[in-house]
Amino acid sequence: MAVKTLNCPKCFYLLSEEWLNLPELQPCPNCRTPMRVEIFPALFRPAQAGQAGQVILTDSEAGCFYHAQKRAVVPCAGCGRFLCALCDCELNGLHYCPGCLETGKTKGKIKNLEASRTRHDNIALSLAVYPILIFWFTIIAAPIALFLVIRHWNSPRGLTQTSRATLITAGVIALLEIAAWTTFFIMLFSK
Amino acid sequence: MAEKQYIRLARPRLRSGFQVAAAARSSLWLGKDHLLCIETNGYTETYKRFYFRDIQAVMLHRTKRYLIANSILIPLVVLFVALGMFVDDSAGRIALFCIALLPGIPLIVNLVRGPSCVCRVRTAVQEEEIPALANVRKAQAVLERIRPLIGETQGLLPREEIPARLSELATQNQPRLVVDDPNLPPRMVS
Repeated sequence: MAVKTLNCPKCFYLLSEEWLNLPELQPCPNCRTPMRVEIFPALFRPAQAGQAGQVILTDSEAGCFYHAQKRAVVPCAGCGRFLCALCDCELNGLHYCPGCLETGKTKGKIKNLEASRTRHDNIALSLAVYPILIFWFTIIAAPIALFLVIRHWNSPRGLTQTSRATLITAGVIALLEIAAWTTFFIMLFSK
Repeated sequence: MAEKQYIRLARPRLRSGFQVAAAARSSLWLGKDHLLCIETNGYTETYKRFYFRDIQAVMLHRTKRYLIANSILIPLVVLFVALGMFVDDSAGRIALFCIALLPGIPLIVNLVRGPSCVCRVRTAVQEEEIPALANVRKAQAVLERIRPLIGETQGLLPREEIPARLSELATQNQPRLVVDDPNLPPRMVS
């Protein structure tokens, strides 16, 4: 039987089950390119259908914060508001309301939703190092680099970054440049 | 000291194609319950997470990049080394041997890394290339490392079970035809 959902990653030839989950690369039956396709049980999991909120039938039932007529099924992990099945957004086992999800994404409160970060430490380091090539530029770049180091000392670094080494290096280089310029001007005006 | 949240699986690599112009580098990290693919140009980082519970398939196929790189670098190295051998001047010889190192070092790196490949991760909603896994050896090693982790989350899938599960999937995917009225064409029910 041909597998309708899995193709050769190179030529998109439909692969049969004998080509799946093999320990080594095998030539594709069509294009002969060595390939390996490893499938997992999630492939066979049916897509979860969205749920609609259920209407409140008795007075004792709590209503959804956003849809007062719908039965609340879960509280939001962010704000604690009651949510119906329609408003319930599940993320890593936690339930959020659409508002908290949006806030978490824009403000970076929910780490797993963060899609990008600015590396202020790398910007500061570049501003401290690259202008050295044309030394005169450091008179402007070094204070900016130092400002960035101070301004973003507590800002989130890269997701995989654990230390402030880059920021410290940038700060030290910028300070040395500023010290060099200060010495230069003192010597210039003292003559 | 804070515990490391991510373990590096693959070092940053330049993306192929037009992305090279933007000097975008891609690396792969192992998180507690997901793979993290980081693309960076040095000043911003973009994250893509592949949760173990969502990964449907990992696909890789060999590419010709390894052979093409070797076929360009080897003649260059041979040319400069040969020229260096024929030059009498010792300074010229040293200079030519140094020039031979320019293609020689990438050649050694390429040979050590081994055959190249393209690796893709498939989930229910996307199929993403992982540029950090550009070598067969590395991709296979990473796959062997994440397979038990995915197995822990999703359960095991023995090879013998695959045909049965696939036929089940094919029946699920097949549209059902319902005849409401013999005078009308059948209606498709998903």
